[in-house]
Amino acid sequence: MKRSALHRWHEKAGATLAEENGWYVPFRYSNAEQEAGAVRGSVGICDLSHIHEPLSPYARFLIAGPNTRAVLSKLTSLNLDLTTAYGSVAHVRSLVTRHELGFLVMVPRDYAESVWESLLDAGEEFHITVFGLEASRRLEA
Amino acid sequence: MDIRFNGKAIPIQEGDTVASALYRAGQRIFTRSFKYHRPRGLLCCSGHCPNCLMNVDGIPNVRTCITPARGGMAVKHQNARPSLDFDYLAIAQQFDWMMPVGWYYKNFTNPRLWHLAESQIRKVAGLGDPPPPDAPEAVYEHAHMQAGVAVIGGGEAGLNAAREAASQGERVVVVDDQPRTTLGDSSYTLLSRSYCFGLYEGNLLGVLQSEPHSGVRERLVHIRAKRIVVATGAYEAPLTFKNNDLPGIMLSTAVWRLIHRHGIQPGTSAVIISNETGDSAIAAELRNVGIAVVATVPPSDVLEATGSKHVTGLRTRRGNFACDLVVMCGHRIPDAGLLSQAGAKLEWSAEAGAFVPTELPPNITAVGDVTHALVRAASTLVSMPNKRTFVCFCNDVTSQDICDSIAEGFDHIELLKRYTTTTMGPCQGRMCQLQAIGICARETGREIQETGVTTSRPPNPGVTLGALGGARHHPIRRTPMHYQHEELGAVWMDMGDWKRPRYYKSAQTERESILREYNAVRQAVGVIDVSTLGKLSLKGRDTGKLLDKVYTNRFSDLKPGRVRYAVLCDEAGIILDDGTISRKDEDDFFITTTTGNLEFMEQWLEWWLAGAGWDVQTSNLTSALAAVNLAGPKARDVLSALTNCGLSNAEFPYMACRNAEVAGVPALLMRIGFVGETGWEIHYPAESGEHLWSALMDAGRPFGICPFGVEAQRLLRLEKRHVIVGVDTDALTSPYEAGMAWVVKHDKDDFIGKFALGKLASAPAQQSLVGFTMNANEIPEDGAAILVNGALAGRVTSARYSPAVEKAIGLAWVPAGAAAEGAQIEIRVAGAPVRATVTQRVFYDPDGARLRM
Amino acid sequence: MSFLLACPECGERSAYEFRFGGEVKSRPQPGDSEDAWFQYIYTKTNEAGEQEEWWFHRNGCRKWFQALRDTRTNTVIATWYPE
Repeated sequence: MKRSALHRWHEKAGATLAEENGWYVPFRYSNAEQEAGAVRGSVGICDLSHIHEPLSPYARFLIAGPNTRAVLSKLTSLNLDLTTAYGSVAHVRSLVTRHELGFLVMVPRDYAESVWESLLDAGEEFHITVFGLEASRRLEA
Repeated sequence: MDIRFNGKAIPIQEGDTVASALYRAGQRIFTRSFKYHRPRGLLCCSGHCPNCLMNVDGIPNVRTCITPARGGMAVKHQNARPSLDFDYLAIAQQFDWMMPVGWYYKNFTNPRLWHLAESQIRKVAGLGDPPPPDAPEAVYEHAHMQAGVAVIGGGEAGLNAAREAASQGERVVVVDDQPRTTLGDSSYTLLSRSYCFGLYEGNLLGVLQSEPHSGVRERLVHIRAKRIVVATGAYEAPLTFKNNDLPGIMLSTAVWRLIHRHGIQPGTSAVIISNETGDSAIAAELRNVGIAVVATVPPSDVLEATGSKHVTGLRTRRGNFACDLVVMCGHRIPDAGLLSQAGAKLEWSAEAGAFVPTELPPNITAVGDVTHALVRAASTLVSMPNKRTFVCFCNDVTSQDICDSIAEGFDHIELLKRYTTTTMGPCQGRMCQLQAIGICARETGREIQETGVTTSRPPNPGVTLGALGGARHHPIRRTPMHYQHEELGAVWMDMGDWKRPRYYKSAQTERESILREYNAVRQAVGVIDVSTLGKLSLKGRDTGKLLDKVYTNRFSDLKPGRVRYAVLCDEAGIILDDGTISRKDEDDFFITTTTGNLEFMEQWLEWWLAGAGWDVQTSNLTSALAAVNLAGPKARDVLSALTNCGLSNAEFPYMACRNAEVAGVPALLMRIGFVGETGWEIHYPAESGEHLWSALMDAGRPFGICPFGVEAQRLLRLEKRHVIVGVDTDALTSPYEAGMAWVVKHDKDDFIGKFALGKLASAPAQQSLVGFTMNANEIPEDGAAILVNGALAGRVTSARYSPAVEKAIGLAWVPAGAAAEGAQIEIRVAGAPVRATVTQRVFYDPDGARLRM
Repeated sequence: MSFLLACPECGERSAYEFRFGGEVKSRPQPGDSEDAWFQYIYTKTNEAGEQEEWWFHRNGCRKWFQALRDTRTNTVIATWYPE
């Protein structure tokens, strides 16, 4: 089974893991409705690393919610009116792309945990949530 | 609601600053000055002078006059022992004759005298004390903003400019130092409790915001603005006369603020120093709150202030007046530092009595008082030299000091500044620069414009190091198997941003653990995580041509399915990096680089391709692939359990490469031998990292597999005399000195470094990289000195105890003359020279039979 | 050093996102004189004025490009991919 760079982090956070396309994915942490609500109310991050091209070096995070820009602006000087741009997020070179729910942040896999923790740190002011795939599907619907 | 001052409870009211609360409670001396420890009281109440600096909640040098008071704050005085009222270091004033301007330069021409004095001077120098090491850590963060228009200063002029820009559809940010958080309108973003400390190239503004939200002490905001409007206003600076620094002598701004913002009556009888005749506005203010105005005197008539710990009177040409408050209607100075930093010029206007900004660069405008500051007529800038007339309050520089410096030849304003340290203290010239310029102009017979100003540099006001650092998150790189190493007892080391296992704790001591790993590799099988290696994929018809050009050896003739050791140099013939190159197919190459040089290598290769028009596509796979090195006599046994790939010497010879599935995972296998045993380097997708490592450990258990770390690897390769670029070589090493002449293929038409290497090939060597052995009791440190005839002649690059030869072994740089086989050299170990023997022989398995089992 | 530099791919960014790659120089041919190689390897023109130079977008798209910059004012006049 393939694992995201954050696999151990999800395990420690008590995530319910599911299998998708040969990957372990974090399905939910507590309760999908609660997670989706927290994102709609403020901001949340979700690990989408399983959406993966062969030989891609990137881990992939979705950051969503009304406070997305406020959180990202603590970690990057990128102009967030962008559609897609390379830049530095939490001192790590990244590719940031607009997503219907917010932004996708792609960082080299080996930096994934470091950047994830920086996002959580920057988001503390806004009570940032970690949300799973189940919640992300509710948000997209 | 209370704050505590030196342990004593002080009541606070709504709107109080720490200083206003202390003043209301009767505090008059707020600090002692830097050099003479003279008593100092509130002067500006605007955060511009050094007089109110105190320690608040452990933070030193806090400007209490602009710090809002909050219940529970613990405030302590600074720079006075035992107390502000009685400071024994005030005796320094008796020794002012020993400490004239520039006294360091004059007294300490003898180095021994300086060293004697230095330790004592350090004890008394400085103002506040840093927090103790166990103080609770504060949290800082950064933020970035982009704006169409940034307005610095939220006064009337600034807000008008902001509204106008917003009405034209611009994205506007206003930076203001006041604590208000609500706005009349939301057409612009307000950064409150913020000050702009610098204006940098490309219209980048540095802004420091206090307490942006709970839990964070300060936020450093980077603002990129298309247009900047500077509305920073003007500030008031003190007048110069003898004893002008006594507590109770205040700027009119301070008096106004104490009365209107804090409801405080700052005295009972006052003398006003002002050029305005008749009843001035400030006189009316004073009378309204019951302060008697004893006299109004023009600055040119003032002789001296009297009093010791507080002002008791003012002697003037119009008479001597008893008073407990002197109000200075001082110079109004445009706060134009940011405009200077932007490149504007400052021109002296005699009419305004101030330097006003002109020649603003495009996209920068100035509005409000900062443009002209003509609020009152200028007062004279004359001040007779006197040892108690203070020009620079921060560093206790008197008008006497300034005149003496000019007489000594330091008559250019920039020299004067550096020699006296005027303008170099916390106020950065706000209180003192104009006076210093005035004195300099007069003493040198120049016009003020000709005398000029000193360069304004950010940060001004100062910024804490914590704020510059921001959130404490420095990036960490972890391999896909990181947590498996953690579970196996890895003891970590840092390699750049990477975490790598140095060794695994499997025995009582580090030495025993590493020996266990070593023995496993030599006698059974070991596995090391080498995911940190740089990995580059190069594809295209011109790849062979590119590699031939950039590397010193030849790769266009490398057969598919083969691996070759690769070295590259710069145009001066210096080794840049090494690694392996595998040819997977005709136009498909795979390069590994050292961990530390991957970043450089990717740039280097891309640079040679830029604009060349060659058919080569590069892909950095470092993060996409995990990699391990499986090595030892049992390596084949372990690997064959996990793959169908033929691993015999016939099917998979040394220095060959194959694509194959290992534990169901598609991988590239390379049979190479850095540690000197039969083994394979396996590269595979990172998302299968944990899976494949587990499979290897499971398959290896019956054979005694052991994970090994960087330390064991270093020892194993040292026994094979393998060089590590950057450890055994440095920024001056050519392949010839390092004993690698064979990697340079001079028969190629052209390659990077060909010319220089051609010269180096025939030049006599100055120094050589040699191996050595010595007694096992004395193992030199990496970097230990090599001595020849007692003189420093080289250094050890790597040294370890070798179980294979039961001696200490190593590599070292020695002078060419000392490089013969069997030559004796001396190495400094624990301070004493120890004999060692030079050898060029490989320490372990010189024929390489173990590699080809 | 926070002047703005327009990466041909990513647009205007702070100079800190890039790595400076030196003046644009033409490399001597094999067989050229020692002096030509010495000049190429060790000397710089160090123009006080407009200079053609290399830049690499280290924290961005990771491409090399050339720029014309006035070294006296850090005004970047143009940027392009070399042919």
